[in-house]
Amino acid sequence: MTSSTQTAMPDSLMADSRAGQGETPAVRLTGITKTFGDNMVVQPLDLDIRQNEFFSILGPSGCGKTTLMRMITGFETPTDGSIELAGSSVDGLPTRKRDLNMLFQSYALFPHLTVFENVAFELRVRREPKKDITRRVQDALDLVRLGDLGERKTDQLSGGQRQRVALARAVVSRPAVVLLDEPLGALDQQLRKEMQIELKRMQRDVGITFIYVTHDQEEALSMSDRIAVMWKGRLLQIGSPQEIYDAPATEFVASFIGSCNIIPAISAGPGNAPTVAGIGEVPAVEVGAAEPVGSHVSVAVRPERMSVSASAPATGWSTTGTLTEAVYLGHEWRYGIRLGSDAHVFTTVPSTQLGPELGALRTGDSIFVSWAEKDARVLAE
Amino acid sequence: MVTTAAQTAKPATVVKPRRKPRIQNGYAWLLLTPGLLSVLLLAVWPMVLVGRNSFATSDQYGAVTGGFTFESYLALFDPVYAKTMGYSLGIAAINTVLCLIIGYIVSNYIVAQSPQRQSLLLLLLIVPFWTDFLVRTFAWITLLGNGGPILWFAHLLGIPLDPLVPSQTAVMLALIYAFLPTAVFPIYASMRGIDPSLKEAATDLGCGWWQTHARVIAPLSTPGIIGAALLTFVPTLGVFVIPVLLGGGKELLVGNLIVTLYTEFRNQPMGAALSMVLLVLMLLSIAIGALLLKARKRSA
Ligand SMILES: Nc1ncnc2c1ncn2[C@@H]1O[C@H](COP(=O)(O)OP(=O)(O)OP(=O)(O)O)[C@@H](O)[C@H]1O
Ligand SMILES: [Mg+2]
Repeated sequence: MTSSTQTAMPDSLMADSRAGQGETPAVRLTGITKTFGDNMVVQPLDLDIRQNEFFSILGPSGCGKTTLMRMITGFETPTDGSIELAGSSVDGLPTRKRDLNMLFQSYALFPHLTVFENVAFELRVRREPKKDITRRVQDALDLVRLGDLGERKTDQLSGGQRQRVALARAVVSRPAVVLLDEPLGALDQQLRKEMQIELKRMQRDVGITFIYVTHDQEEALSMSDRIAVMWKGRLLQIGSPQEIYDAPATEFVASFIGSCNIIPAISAGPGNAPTVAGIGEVPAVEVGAAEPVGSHVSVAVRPERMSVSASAPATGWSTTGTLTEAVYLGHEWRYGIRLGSDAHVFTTVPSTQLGPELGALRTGDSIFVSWAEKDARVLAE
Repeated sequence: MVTTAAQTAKPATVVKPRRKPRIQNGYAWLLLTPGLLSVLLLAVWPMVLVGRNSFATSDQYGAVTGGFTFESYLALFDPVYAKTMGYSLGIAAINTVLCLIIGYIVSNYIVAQSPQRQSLLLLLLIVPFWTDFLVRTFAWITLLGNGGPILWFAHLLGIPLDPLVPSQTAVMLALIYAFLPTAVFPIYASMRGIDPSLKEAATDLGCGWWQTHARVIAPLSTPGIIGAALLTFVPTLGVFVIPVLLGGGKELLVGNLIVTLYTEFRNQPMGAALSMVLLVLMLLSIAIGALLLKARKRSA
């Protein structure tokens, strides 16, 4: 329970949790742990978040994202470990003395105050000069495009407008870090898309570090500079959206981000192709520490990286499977295929690229499947 | 994942059907009759009698003889009565302020507890109401008086303490004791409705304990605070048992005076007149409370 060497990340990927030499991270977590009763909600973890970075924490419900955020803000006290903001320790420092603001999922706007008063709240508490307050609040309201709604009460606003007020309130004092806990969760699909773009623009404009919690992978991919994938209280992988998508470190990351075919296989040792039951050797890249010969591994292949054809491709590796379903989705076809003895995979073919041969296939027919070595990864279970 | 058609449909606006006024047919009145009758017989009718008597004259034995005069009201301008009136208002105001402060702190404590503990604590607040008010007041005599645990303990520590009964302190203590639960409930009800994340937001935005309460929690609890003030101030004006039992009957409240006028002086018209004045004072404070609430709602 207390071992701090316990980690889910291969050593090569752990490197990403620490910033480069000479750079002071906006937030540095060292061995941070949280236990409720005997339930370890956040396992010991290390993490550096860089200055002015849009950093997302992505993970399924209940994995400990909110708990991690609340430890950074100071609402929760870590069971173990320490937290630094801009190079100095904030352990034991109350929330109000930490140079950060939180954007609550429920927005937490003060219902007895107007929009202007809500945004001015922190500046007034901190006793800034009056004329400064007016100007800075107006700037913040302009930033979120609510310039003329200052006198409204918060219950006279739409969901998207409340969201903007909360954002203006969080950034008006220019804190070093703003933490956003699933800020778009309560908005409808269309507004979500708009606000994603808006948030990203704003973060770039004001130059504040954003720590953004979400369980929506598309949101994380489209907005973040870097993403940490969290699962059961652990950080499985930290990297840019491309790294996370193209080079997932574990089976969970591969299937949680986008969709991915996971094919059970047996490792043949470093440098050798793994074996899939009923197929034989398949091309795949080993990542991280090599698995011992004979151990159970997975081969992960993204559906769009798999190609299918009615006859054997002229060059390269291929195997045959049985077509179990072919579903037309307008812009593409989705094929379900049984591979080898116990693997089910699916792949997509753009409607425009569907040849007459492939189009003639019926369920139960044989179909050829292939992928390039670089597009398949061997992952430990 | 393969995306399907974007779901952008807006939720349809919900049109509420206009509800028909309920009380339209004879049956509803039939159902209301028992309640109406008891209110008319037990509350309105006695009040009308008191109102009538306050303008009546009486014979020398105190019996109401009818007629119409303002004499009883004019007699109330006697400095003795005015002084009692002022004293009552003062005591009621002090009691209200103290009950509000303590009630606020207690409510703030209760809402921070787990739901089960909250119910338990509220239950503990209600328990005293199961015992008669008079009995509870007598309990204070035992508690504070000669041979009571407080004196015993003080003497044990070597503090020379006089018996606290009768005294103003005892009256004040008993008044606070009597009205604290009534003050706690409305404040608690208001506080419980406050989203806990507002408190965290206040902390996050730089507030310490005091600022959090001054800027967020107290303003959001005002409906409860105003309600608690009314429930404390108005009934305190009419209290008469506590000053007699614990204050030695030296300083009287309006309630005592009314009792005295009716029973000892046998001056029914004056007792009635003073009752009417008290009633008007109560209605006035309720009106002020309602206005405050309304003003708050308009600004909110
Ligand atoms: N105060 C608490 N006491 C006990 N357990 C808690 C407490 N707060 C959170 N937990 C538990 O910790 C785990 C992680 O909770 P957390 O709120 O951090 O998850 P999350 O990743 O934010 O999930 P979601 O996406 O649903 O918001 C959950 O199992 C939750 O039940
Ligand atoms: Mg959460």
